[in-house]
This record gives sequence, structure tokens and C-alpha cells, in this order.
Amino acid sequence: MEVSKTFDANLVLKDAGAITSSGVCTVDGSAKILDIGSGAMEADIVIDVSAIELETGDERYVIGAQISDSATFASGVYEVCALILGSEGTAIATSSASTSPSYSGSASYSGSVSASETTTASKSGSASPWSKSGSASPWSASGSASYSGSASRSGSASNSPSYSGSTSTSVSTSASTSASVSNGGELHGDTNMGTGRYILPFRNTIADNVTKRYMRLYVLMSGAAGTGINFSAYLAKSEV
Amino acid sequence: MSKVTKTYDDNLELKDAALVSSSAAAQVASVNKIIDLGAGVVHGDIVIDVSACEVDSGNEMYTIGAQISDSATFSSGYYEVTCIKLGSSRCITGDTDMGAGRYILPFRNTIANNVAKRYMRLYTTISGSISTGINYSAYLAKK
Repeated sequence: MEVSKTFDANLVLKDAGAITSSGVCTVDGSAKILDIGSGAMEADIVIDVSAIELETGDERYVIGAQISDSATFASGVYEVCALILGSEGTAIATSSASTSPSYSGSASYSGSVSASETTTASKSGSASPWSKSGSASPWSASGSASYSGSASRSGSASNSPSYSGSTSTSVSTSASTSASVSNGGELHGDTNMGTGRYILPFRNTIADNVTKRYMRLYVLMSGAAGTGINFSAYLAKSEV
Repeated sequence: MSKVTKTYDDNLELKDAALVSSSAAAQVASVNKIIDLGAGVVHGDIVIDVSACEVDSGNEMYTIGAQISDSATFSSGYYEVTCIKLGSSRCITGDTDMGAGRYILPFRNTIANNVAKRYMRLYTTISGSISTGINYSAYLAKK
């Protein structure tokens, strides 16, 4: 069952809206920074996650509470607590991978093609249609036919296609992938953490109880988070 | 500013002082320490006393996470419900190194929709060029 907390519009840290890249949480499109006054303050951050993409299995969404003395967070920024949502991972969260496939090749063609063809035909002789000797009778199947003539044709054809050239193809493919996830690419727990209402206890102090007056939420995303995460958040009074 | 003072209960010790140079569950007397919080929702403060935190290379990050589970041995079904990241400013999300001192990390043994888990432990996740690492002790205290 969800925890019920009194909502104060002045304490909204993020309004509903999908986030697909790391950034400061916004309300009405503007980065939201709360002035929580001087002194130490304890409260609960209510985080309502309505959608979260976990399809690839490497998505990680760190919702961190940051504090600062600067009203604009220009400097002196500390993240004092964080809730990590996303795909399940391993407890040993440091991962480093380097892959450098490389293909380099060269193909070169250089040459010439030459073809030459010469055709010469010569025929000599004579033919006369009037020079025919012999007889033919339907009843006599003997006879002779003589053909004598000459024909002469003289010509030449020369076909000389010539190709001379060079083709040079060089292909060089180099891909280098180096991934180093400094703080773990995956969730530190072993179970997906997705939608629902989370309560993240918060305190505006760094080491030795040094307080900071201003706070904001910051979402740090890693992995193949296509549609990302959609959540809203507000600061509420602590139960204790 | 003075440190926050919290009553110490030996049964609620989560880690004794010792250097940690690689990712691991927190230990007391060299044994992984798991605390039985009982049934129901528990609110507490985790008091973390950091005596040394190496940031020489500028890429060190030490995430001290509070994990909870239904399993008394954390064999499965464990969740990290809050964490604090210490180390070099180049790695942690803030812009300032976070090193030695006493930190108070508020804690609550619930995941989404107020589902409580009975057992808790600390887990230190370390990345970067580590030689000496981080030395800290921690215990759970009443809010």
C-alpha cells in the first residue's frame, strides 16, 4: 500500500513528464530549486514513478537529491542521497569493456584490355546465269549443271576496342568501442525497480552536519533508455 | 559545525573500521553483516564515519548503499533503497569531492508502494583507480 503524504505545491520537485537524458528536474519546464531555509532539515522525498523503460536490461536511473549554498547551483553541489531505479544488475557494479574491431583492406586493379580484330574476306570468281549447259528432261534425270563464275569481295574490318585504366578500391573500416561505466551500469540490487511510489528519506547535510540551504533533484541516466522514465516528486514532512 | 551525535547500539553496527578497496558487502569482524530489522516499516539514520577516502587519481567513486531483502542471507531479492556517493568530484554527481567526516544517511526499509523488507546490509561499490580505497565504519541509529 502506498504511503500517503500531504502535498504542498510549493514543495514540488518535479512534475510528471518523461525524461530520456540526464538532467535537472523541472517544474513547468524550468529547473526547480527549493529554498529549504537555514539549518538542518529532515524530510521525505515522495517519488511517483508512472513509467520506466527496462526493455534492454541495462537501463539505470539515479534520482539524486542535491544540495548547495548556491541558489542557482552554480557551484558547491553535493548529492547527499540517491535512489537508483532500473534494470536488475549485479552487486559488483563496476564494469569496463573495450572492444576495438578493426578492418582495413585495399583492393587495387590496374591493367589494360586490348582487343583487335581484323577480318578479311576474299572471294573471286564469276557467275553467269546464261552459262548453263546441259539438258533436263522430266523423263531423263541425267544432265549436268555447271556453274562457273567468280565473285570477289574484298574488305577488311578492324575492331580494336582498347581499355586501359586502373581501378583502385581501398576500404578501411575501423570501429572502436570503449565503454567504461564508472559507477556500475546496472542496478546494485538484483531485482528490477520500476513503477510505484518510493519514499526517499532526505537530510540537507553533508559531512559533519554542515547544512546547505538549497535543494533540487537530478536524474542521471545510463543504458539504452529509449523512452526513459516518467515520474513526479515532491518534498513532504518526515513521518518520524 | 559539530557532528551529529547518535546513540550507538552494538547490535546495529553495519561495518567496523577497515579499508575497503573493492566492491563488497560491509563486514563486522570480517564477516558480512546483515541486520534483522523485524517485520514492518523501519525508519532510521545510518551513521557513516569516514576516516579516509582516497581521491588521488581523480576518478575514484565509492557508493555506500543500503540494501534490503526478504532473504536473511541476501541470496536473492535484494534492493538498494538509498545510497551516498563519496569520492572525487569528477565522478560523483556533485561538483565537490566528498571525503572524510560523519555522514547521516536517512534510511527506510521499503521499496515501491511501501513494501517492507526485513533484512538490511550495506554494500560498497567502488570504481576508479584505487590503491588504498575508503576506510569507514557505520551503524544504524534511531532518527
